[in-house]
Amino acid sequence: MLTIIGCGNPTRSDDGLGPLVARRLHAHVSALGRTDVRVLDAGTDGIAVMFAARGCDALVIVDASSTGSEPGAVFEVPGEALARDYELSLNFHDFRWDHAIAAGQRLFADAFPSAVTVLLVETESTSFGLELSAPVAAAAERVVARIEQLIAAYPAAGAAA
Amino acid sequence: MAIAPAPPTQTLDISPVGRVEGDLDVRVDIANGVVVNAWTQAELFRGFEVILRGKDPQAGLVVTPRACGICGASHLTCAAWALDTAWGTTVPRNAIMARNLGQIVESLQSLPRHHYGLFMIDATNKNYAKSPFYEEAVRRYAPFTGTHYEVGISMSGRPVEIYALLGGQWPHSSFMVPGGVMCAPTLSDMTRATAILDYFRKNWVESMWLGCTLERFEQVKTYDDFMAWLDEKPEHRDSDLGFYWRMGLDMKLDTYGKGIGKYITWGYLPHEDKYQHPTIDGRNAALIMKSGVFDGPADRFKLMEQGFTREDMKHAWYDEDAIVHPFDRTTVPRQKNDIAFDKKYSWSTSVLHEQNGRLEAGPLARQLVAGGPHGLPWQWNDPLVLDMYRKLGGASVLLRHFARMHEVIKLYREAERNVREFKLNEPWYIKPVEKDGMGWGATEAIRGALAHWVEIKDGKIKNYQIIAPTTWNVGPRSSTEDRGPMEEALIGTPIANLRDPVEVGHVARSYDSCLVCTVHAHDAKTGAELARFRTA
Repeated sequence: MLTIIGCGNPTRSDDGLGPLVARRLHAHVSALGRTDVRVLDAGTDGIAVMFAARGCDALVIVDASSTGSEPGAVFEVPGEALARDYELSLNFHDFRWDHAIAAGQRLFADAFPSAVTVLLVETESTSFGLELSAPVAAAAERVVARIEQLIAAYPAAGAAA
Repeated sequence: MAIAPAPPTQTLDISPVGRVEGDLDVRVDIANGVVVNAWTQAELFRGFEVILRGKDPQAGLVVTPRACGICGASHLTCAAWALDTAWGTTVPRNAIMARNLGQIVESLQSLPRHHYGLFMIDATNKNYAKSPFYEEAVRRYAPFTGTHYEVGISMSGRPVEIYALLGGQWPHSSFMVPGGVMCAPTLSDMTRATAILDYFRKNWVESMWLGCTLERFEQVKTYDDFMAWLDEKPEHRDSDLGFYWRMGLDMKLDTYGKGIGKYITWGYLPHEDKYQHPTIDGRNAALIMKSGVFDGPADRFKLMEQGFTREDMKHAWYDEDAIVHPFDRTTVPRQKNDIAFDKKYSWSTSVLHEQNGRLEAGPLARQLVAGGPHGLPWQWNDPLVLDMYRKLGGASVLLRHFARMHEVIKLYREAERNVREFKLNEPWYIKPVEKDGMGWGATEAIRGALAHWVEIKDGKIKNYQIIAPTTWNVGPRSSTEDRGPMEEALIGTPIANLRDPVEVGHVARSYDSCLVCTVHAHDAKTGAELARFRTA
């Protein structure tokens, strides 16, 4: 199973990228009739990412980023470069998908995908708003196209679905 | 003649008790492997009553939902109805249902969260490694890795999506206001709500929790019906409810945690056609789920009236008269809160009924009262839990948690009915006129009786008082030195391993105690105390 998870908050302008990409890909996968590919909008729920990825052999995560690059820049990063151990704080609400990758691999071992691809798009604005900025909306198209390629290439020759 | 030595008594301080909402400390004396005395302590002072003093009358709508991250709708409900009764508002039919629906979906959220996130993890404790159910319990309920833990935790977030449709967010919305609600849902919101309810029903209630349809389980009216249901099909036996009951018996959860045998519920869910002109006195006759006091030993039922409520401060860290009605409280916290078990040892007061003394609050209380003959013919009646109580010889950890989870069915049906009954083109809010006065709002949070009292003078809050379910349940000894409900329920609890007294946890968790709401600001002076675990 290939699982694609869009993360972000659609009421925070460009942070709505992940949910938007998830919606587009959900339609794409349904049209293809693929049952070995699942698409999920996880919002800001890190635990949901961890549980949704459980039992899959490949995982793609889409989120907005703010790293200081120019708006609309797209990054494709291997999961291991971003996985982070969760440090206990006053509550559990700051558990995010980067923590989910680290925790999921530890908790579920072989039942958690080792192949994780993270697609990040640099934001212009994350203030209140329901629309993506022009550079991020354009980048969303590139991300959708890239994941459609990944879907077409899945499963890789010799890999179990 | 030789005098037999008294059995050695060991004192165990558990601080904090894990997997309850908030910070509960328990001290137990143990002799011959059984708890012989107990003290429950609420260790955090929060001061909502102090915060609200002198504020705008509507401050309670914003402040009190933050008493808790899990029952905010219940606090908001109380805060709104308290102002409605004080101001003499008119609340439109749609608004009553929107408030009820908000409250119900929060309670539905709480059921799987409590069962999987807090309660059933105990079944995976190595104390039960020899149980024939143990391996399956670990497979289902181990935290994070358990298959049903995952479903339960994920599913518990769904019902409150309906709350967000009404209130914009959950928790901590303030969409209920005197005179109605600050929302006007659309048909598409109601369609989404219906889809969410249906999803919750199909993917958890029926498939995982019951192993049968709601309709089938609604036929279960007696203990015998329940046992017959359990044996009817493997799907029933292996459902999480069936498994809970069978493993619970094996864990002997039916043999302890009895408590004081007297119960209180404020009742809740005012009917949309019967409480549009809310008054304190008119509430009892307007409720779908009736209020009540059930005296178990005397087998007597009556309605609960707020006028009988008393708070007893003898063993609580307040410098106030010993026993007063909430309207007469002044909330004077003691600055130097040393623990002295013969004097003062908790931030929770002991709550009393003037005539009936200490009472247990919670879903068990609601379900017992639901079986009583009192109240009005149209009010909801369900004889199941009362019958089980009688046949099984009273309350226990097993029955208390069963009663909590049993409520899912009625709550689901009522949520369904509300969504159907909304008339989207009718009003949701009628602007009220502010005035001075006294108000009272009550409801049933999932974990029990919750009420707010407010006195408004010169356009400001003169006095605001909250009594939460856990105030009833974990309150310390009263002036008459009677133990509180949970203190009493701990007596007789067998402790297999002094180094890991999981049984104390079962009792505490069967009340789903929630300390964050019980004492109303964290005191850094006592913060260091919270992480300790010592045997003294």
